[in-house]
Amino acid sequence: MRQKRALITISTFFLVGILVSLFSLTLEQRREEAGYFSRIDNYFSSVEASINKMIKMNTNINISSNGTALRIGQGLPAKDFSSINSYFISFLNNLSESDAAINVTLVRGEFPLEVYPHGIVYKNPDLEKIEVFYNQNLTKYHVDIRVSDNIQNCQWNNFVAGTFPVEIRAEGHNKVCETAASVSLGTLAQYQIRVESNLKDIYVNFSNTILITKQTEVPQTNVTTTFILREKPTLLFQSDRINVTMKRFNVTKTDYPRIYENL
Amino acid sequence: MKMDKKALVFTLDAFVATLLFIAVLSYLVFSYRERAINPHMEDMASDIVTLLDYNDTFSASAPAIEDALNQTLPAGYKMQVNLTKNMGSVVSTSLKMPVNKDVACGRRVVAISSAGSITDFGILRYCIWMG
Repeated sequence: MRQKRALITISTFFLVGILVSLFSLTLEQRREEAGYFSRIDNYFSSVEASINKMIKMNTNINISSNGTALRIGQGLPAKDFSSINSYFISFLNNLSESDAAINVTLVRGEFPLEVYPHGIVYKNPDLEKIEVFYNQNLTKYHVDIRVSDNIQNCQWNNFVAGTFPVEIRAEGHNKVCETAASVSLGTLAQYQIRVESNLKDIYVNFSNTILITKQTEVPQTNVTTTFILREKPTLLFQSDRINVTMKRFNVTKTDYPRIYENL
Repeated sequence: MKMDKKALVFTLDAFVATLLFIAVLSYLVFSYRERAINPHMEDMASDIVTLLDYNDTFSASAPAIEDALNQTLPAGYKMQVNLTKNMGSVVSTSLKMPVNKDVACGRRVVAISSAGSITDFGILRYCIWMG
């Protein structure tokens, strides 16, 4: 009887010991996995931070927001961002780290910023143009154009009244043109700003996209675009989707990098 | 007499079981505390290099990086960083990693600037320890 009890005590003790050890091992494994997730996040954040520094230092873009208003200021001609961007992408793709693999996919030559979650895209089709792909999440559009020259005149060339509210302000050395109108989406409406010194133009076209074009001969021009949106935005750098993979656990984080500046 | 012997065996059994239980529990608690140091130090080191990167410190020389590290690190901690730039050069701080201490390490991608614009990128490897 006594032997039986001793056996029960010993076996219970060993059973509890085994359970505690298994629990401890699982806990350790989970902690290790959590550590790897945190490392993936840190690594991803460092790539984002590098992109943010590139945008801050290698473009002439200023980004700020106030509630649902997002403001993107840019000088035209835009700075050529493609060479440093390509260099960064090739650097990331050639990294050989022991347990991290970084892949950058969806590389495009332009410089698109996506206003998330609204699906509005801001990009430079070339160094003298700004194009905005918009939708019904954009409730109002304001553009402020400052040109280092005298303005001869400003006028609407095509105008079809509609329901989408736009405001255009153009400031030269000699005068300011201001217009507020509601345009019809999908039908071309063109606002023309003619500068005095060489009679060249800046055009603001409203159609399926909003396209601001500065003719090359027009001197340096600053264009500040203000989007009034339905809700507070996040700005994503859309051109490069980044995958960070930790090979050991085969865990990948895939996302577009966010732009942090003043948002 | 028979009853006394039974009680003694039961008491001894309970005593030994309690001792073993305390021993196992202490081992688990102490080993967990020891392992918990690493993630804490790793997070702290990550925060420090993120801050220095934001201030563009890693575009500077090794002594300047070392100065910035010394100003940012909490008392009682030491850190070593090694930056391998894509164009080939390596910048390292002078401290060597200790062999007999708990060390937490990490790495990040950094952008390196020159004359106000980004010119290169690199991998920054960093280690932190108490010392």
